[in-house]
Amino acid sequence: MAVDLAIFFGTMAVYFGVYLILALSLNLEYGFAGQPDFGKVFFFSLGAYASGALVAELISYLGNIPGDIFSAATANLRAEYAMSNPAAMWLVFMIAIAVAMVIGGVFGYLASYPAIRLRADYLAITLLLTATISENFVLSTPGIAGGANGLGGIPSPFSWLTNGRLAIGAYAALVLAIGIGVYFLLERTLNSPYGRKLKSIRDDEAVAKSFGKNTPRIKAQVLVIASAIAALSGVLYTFFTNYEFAGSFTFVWTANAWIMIVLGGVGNNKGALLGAFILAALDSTTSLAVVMVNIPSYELSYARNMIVAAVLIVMLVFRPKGILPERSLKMPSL
Amino acid sequence: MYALLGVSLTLSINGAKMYNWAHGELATVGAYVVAVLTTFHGVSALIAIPLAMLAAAGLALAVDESTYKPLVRRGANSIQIMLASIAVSIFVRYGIFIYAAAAFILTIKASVEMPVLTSLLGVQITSLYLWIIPSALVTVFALRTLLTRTLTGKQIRAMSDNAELARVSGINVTALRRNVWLIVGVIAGLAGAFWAMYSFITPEIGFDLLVDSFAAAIVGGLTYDGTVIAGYIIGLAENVGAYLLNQTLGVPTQYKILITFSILIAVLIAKPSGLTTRRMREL
Amino acid sequence: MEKPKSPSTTSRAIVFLVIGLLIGGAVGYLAEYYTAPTSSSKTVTYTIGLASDLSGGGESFGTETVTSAQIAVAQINAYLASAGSNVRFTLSSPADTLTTTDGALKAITSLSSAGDDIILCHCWSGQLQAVEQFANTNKIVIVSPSSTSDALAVSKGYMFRAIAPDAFQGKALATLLWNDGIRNVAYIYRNDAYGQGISGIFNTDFTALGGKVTLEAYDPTLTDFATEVATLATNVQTLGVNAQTAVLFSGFSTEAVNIFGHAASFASLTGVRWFSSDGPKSATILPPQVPTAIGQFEVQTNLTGTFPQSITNNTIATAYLAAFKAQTGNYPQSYGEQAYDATYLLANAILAVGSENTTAVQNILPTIAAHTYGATGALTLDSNGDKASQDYAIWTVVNSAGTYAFKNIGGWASATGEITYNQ
Repeated sequence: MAVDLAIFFGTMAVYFGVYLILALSLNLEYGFAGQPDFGKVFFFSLGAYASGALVAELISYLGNIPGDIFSAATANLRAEYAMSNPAAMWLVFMIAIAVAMVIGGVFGYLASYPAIRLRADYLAITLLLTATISENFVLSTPGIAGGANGLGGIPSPFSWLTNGRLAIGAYAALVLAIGIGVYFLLERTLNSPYGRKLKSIRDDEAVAKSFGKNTPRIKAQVLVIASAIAALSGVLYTFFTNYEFAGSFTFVWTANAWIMIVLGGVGNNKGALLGAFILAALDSTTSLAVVMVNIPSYELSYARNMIVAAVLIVMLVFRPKGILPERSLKMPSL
Repeated sequence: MYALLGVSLTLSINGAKMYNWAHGELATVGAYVVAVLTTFHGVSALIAIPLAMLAAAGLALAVDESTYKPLVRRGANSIQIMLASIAVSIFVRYGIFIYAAAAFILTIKASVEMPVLTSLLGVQITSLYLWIIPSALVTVFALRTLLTRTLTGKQIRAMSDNAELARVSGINVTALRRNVWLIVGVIAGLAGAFWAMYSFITPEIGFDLLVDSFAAAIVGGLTYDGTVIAGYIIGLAENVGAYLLNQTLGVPTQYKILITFSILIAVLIAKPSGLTTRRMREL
Repeated sequence: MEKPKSPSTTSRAIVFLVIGLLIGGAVGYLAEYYTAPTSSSKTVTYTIGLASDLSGGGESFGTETVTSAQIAVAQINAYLASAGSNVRFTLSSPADTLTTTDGALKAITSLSSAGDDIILCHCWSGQLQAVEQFANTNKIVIVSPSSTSDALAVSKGYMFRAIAPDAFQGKALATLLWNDGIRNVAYIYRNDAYGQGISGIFNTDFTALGGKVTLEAYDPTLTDFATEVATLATNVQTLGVNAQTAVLFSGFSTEAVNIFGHAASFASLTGVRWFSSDGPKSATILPPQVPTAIGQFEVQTNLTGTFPQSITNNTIATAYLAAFKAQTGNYPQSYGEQAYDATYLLANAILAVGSENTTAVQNILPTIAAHTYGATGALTLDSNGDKASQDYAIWTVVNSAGTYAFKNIGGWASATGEITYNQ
């Protein structure tokens, strides 16, 4: 039973990229600006929903595909179209990303209203409830994201490559590139007076206000950017699975994001990198191990959740700042 | 039942100054204890329920001692504690999952015979209703009395207001905190036990109820009376409201959780301190 | 606000130690179970990948699929051995699809990474859709015995379904209710692909016969359905509480029990007959796993339902059921027979091709299926890769001397569209 390394590393890389972007988004919100977002999966899902229906409509329009976009038949037709029209697919892909980020940003802006008014704890709860209820709502409303059936036929922009392994590898490279790009972009932005401003607000808002910083506006900015980034992550994930289903956007995604930054290092983007890597690697290797090794107990998945939870508790008690501590900001050398 | 869970949640929030996401799991444990004992061991409900309450109390205390207290000692901020409580809730919930899956009781109901008493508007009222509503009221009343009349109660309130000051005045904050968790566990366990008698339970039920409980606590402005009232309002609004909306406007009943959410948002925007009066807030 | 204590080297060490211990423990535990492949130059072993819901809500059904596949493989190896063949089959260690669509994708990608490209996946319709693109781009053959959504009745490339889409069951139900004199139906169903699918088909078929249907969907994530049952009661009242009105239920057993429990307190609901699709037919809705009151409700309302099952005298099915009972102590509650047949199908296809070449297997699968008769009847596939026909058994709940059980009282034959009752 040979291990298909291409698929193994390809899928792991995609998950790593998606997780990384999500972790960076949360790190920006919480690590740098002190806004606890327990509803992260909501913004993530926005990216997915945006890429779902929009992409399907676009492809139907471009490829002259009739019929209900939510049916499996048109999904097949869309997949076929994608295989023979790479340029068009790339266009659709980029439009999806742009639209998703805009929608993410808009909702991030809306979320800033409660963020400014409410205490941190209330904000966390409100966002969590938003995520829960949004999942419920979209699931019940067929028009947005296929309701209970989900929406298939969201082909990868690389589907014109007939070699499946190559397609996955290419997509993984793309996702990684985007992820690293976001990373460097954020690092640049945050190792600057703007970053210091954020941290000062996080550490002591009253003082920052007294120094004349417009804290509500800055908080809003942060939420907009972070939500757009989270939506980006959602889009990338959806083009990988080629299918989106409202019921899959559960609290697990939010929990994973938090685990990544708490494990890797709060307030430190390198920590987000580390956290994302650990999670993706752990996920892939344990899944593979389960298949290759004959483990009699079916309770493995439950046990895995318990172990993750236990690790989180240990981290929080003994090392709440994460493995990689927050570095002091790079100051220009004097 | 929302009231019971909401009140215990409020107590834990005020008394221990933290938001415990594992609160739901206390109820789940209580529910499972009652269900398992009555169904498989033929234990009568009168014995099973107190046992459930004890189990939940024990769990609450254990969790606090092992996780929350050390965190507070190390100066963790409220978000970190909340995160830890989420982790605890995951841990406990999946532990219950493993147990339930192994024993093939992923879904179970307590085997307690409930004689039907009368019929009201086409709905048959069983004696369960007679158990729950008064018990809830009695519990809340008892809690209130405890907090207002007894020394312990007053000390708890003092601690809620200002822990440092309380300690300086000679109150044994550590012991008091333990007692708070025990009480929290007892009430939550009771809520869970009732739920098991009312309907079927799964390991996730605590978490499912938690959303509504938090809503009740917040809408009630984190006061005890307020939470009880809010609990009943939300419970009624959800069920009756969804039914009415369906009958009059044809709104599908799946949207009933939106009703709770709307109430919550409306309250948070209009009156962040919740549905309370000054007198309630003093409690 | 005082700053928290800075992490000392001790705490860092503790954290690493704990994490290291956990990982080490896991590896050690796993290593114990790793069986090195025994190499015998003569034996050729083919592996069928196995993916199933082993945790979450679908757990009990998922483990049934695994057991059924194991029974099938054991039988296949036995007859291969007795024929003197040097070919054997094994099943991969089952990958958990977590009852979620993401879980299904993870499971299939893991199996594929491990080199298993021919897979029996206990995937419900949403999960199948999630893995479709991956399967087709990477040429991975997947057979599912448990996806019945009519929405997926389109050609699926490398994916096949060893069970017929619910279009058949909808028809069977419509015929059943109409023949029993029902003209008005209050339908309560699970708001997901399964419920929406089958209720839609039933609605079309039943109204075409001249009947009337009121639909009500319930949110499957809820744990209590008191409100929904109250609405149902009102719907029934509007339709009229008489022998021409019935309630039809489509959902899973856990919800069924909760709904039955609440329904028992409504005079309008206990005054009409109840019908059901295959979803809740499992021992978990009968006493002693539920209070006797629920059992009484089921008998009182003459609960009758359909279930995909061969209705002719099927010796293969009987043998399989006996083997399943011998191994687990119970009869299968869901699509065990379909999983059993699917395993045979995959094995036979691999034998015909002589290797695990997925394209060749995919090509020949329909031909093999057309010549196979299994526990569920003829396995012939239609052009979409789904089972082309399916009979449905008609069951009801009976109480004999205090013991509650399911009893098959007849069947619906897909060839004729007629219902026949046993004598």
